[in-house]
Amino acid sequence: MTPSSQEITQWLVAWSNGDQAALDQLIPLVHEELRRLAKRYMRQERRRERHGVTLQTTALINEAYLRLIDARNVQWESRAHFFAIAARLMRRVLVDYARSRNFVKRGGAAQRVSLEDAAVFSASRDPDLVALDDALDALAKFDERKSRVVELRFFGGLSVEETAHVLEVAPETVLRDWRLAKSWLLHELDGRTGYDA
Amino acid sequence: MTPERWQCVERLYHAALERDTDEQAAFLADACAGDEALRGQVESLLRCDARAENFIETPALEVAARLRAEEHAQSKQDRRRAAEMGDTAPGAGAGLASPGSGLLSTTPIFIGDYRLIRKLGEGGMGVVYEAEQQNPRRSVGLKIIRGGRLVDEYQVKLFQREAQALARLKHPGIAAIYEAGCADDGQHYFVMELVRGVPLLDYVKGRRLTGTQAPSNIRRRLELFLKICEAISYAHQRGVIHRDLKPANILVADESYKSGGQSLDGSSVSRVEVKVLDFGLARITDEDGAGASGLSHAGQVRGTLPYMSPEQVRGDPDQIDVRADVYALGVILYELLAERLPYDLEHVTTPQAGMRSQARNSLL
Repeated sequence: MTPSSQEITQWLVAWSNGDQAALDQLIPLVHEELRRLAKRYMRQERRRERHGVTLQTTALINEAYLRLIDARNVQWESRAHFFAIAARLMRRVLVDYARSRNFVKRGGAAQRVSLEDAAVFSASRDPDLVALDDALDALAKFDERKSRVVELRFFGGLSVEETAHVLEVAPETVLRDWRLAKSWLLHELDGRTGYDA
Repeated sequence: MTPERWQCVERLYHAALERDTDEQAAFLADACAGDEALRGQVESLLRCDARAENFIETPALEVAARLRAEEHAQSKQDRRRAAEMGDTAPGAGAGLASPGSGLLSTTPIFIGDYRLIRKLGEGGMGVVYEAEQQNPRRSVGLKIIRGGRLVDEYQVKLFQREAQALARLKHPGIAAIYEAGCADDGQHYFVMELVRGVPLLDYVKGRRLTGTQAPSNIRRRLELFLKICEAISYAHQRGVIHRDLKPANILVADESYKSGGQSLDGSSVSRVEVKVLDFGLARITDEDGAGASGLSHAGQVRGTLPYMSPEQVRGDPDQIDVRADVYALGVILYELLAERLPYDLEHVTTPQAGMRSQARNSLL
C-alpha cells in the first residue's frame, strides 16, 4: 500500500528526532521511486534508439521528488526544517544505494557506453555519488553553508529560492555559493577519482 | 584549508569572475601580491568553473535512477548472454556475478586464448567484453560478432583476410585489432586494443569546449578533428575504409583527466588522444550476409543514417569507397562546430532518405 504524503512527512519528522524505525519506512519509498524512474528511462531509451528522441526527464524527476518531499502538509514555520531533513534523507539513501552497487571501479561508466557498442571505459558524465558525498564532508569542515547548499539542491532537489529559505540567506548568496562549491567539488573529484576510468 | 584562507580564495574567485577572461590573470597577479599558492588555488578553481557548468545540475535522484536503469539493463543482458553461452537456465544462478557489476562469474569463461572478465557493451554488431589474454598476458577488448554462426566457410575466409589487413593498421589514432578468430561453438570474434576514453561528443560537451563563439574552443575542436582525419587518411592509404564513422565510434582519451588534482593547470590539447574504433568492421560484418546491401532483411538501414553517404543509403556496396568516410567526416565536422546534425533525419524513413540523397546528388 502506498503511504500518504502525510505519513511520509511524519516519518521524516520522526527520523529527524532520532527515530531509526522511521528510516526503515522511508528507505523503501526512495527505492520504489528509483525503480519507477529506471523503468521509465529504459522505455524512453528504447524509443531514443529507435527514433532518436532525446530524453525529457525533468518532469519525471520533479514528480518523484514531489511524491517523496511534499511540503504541502507542513506548516510554513516548519518547512525549512522539513526540507533540510528530506535532503539529508535523500543524500543518505542515494549514496548508500550507489555504494551498495559495489562498483568495480569503472564498471558503471563502462556500461554507460554499452549502448554505443564500444570497447571502452568511459568517464561517465554523471558524478560518482560516493566520492561526492566524501567531498561534501570535506567541504563542510571549512564552509558548512556551501556544503548544505549542495546537499539541499543536488540531493534534495530544491530550487534556489527554497534553498535560500532553508538557509535564511538571499537567493543571490545561494547562487554564488553554488557556483564556487561546484568548482571546488569538481576540482576535488578530479583529484580523487582522477580519470574515473 | 582554514576558513580564513578559504574566505580569501572565495573573495578573489568572485572578483575575478566579474572581469573578462583575459584580464583575470593580471588581476590575480596583482591581488595575490606574490602569494603564489593563493593564486594557484584561485586559478585552478576558475578553470573548473568553466567545466562545472553542468556538473551536479542533474538532481541526485536522477543520477541514482540512471544507475538503477543500467543495473536492470545489465542483468537482462547477463541473463541473455548466460543463456547463449549454454549456462544454466536464466535466473537460476546463471553463473554470473551480481547484476549490475558487469562482472562475469568466478568460473572462468574462455573464448580461444581469452578469458572474459566482464561485459563492456552491446550494440548492433555484437557484444564487447573486457578480456584477459593469457599469453602474452594483457587486457584486451573482445567483440563477439552477432550472427557469426550463420556464416559459411567462404565468408569465414573473407572475414579472416580482412581482419589480417586490419591487424596491420598501426596508428596511434586507431584502436588496434590484434586478432580475429572463431570460437569452438562457431562464434566469430575480434580482439582489439582496450581503449580508455570518452565518446567524441560527450568529450566536447563535458569538457565544455562549448560556446562555439570562443575562438579557443573552435580551435581545440578543429585540432581534435584533424587528429581524426590523420587516422582515417592513414587507413585509406592502406586500403581500409571505415564505413561506419560516427562520433560514438571515436573516443577521446584525455591524459589531463588522469593525473589528479594538479592536472588542472594547462590541460593542453597536445595531451589529448583520439582513437577511432571499429575500423573496417562494417565491411567484415556485412560479409556475414546480414547487410551487404546496407539494408537488412527487415528493411532497416545498417549503419547510422545521419552519417551515411548517399551511396551508402542507396545500398550499392560496389559504389562505396573512401568517399563514404569523407562524407561522414563532413557530418562530424558539422556536428562538432554547430552541435547539431546538418540534416534533420529524425522523422525520415529509409526510402525517404534515399530519395533525399538522390536529390542532394542531383544538385551537385
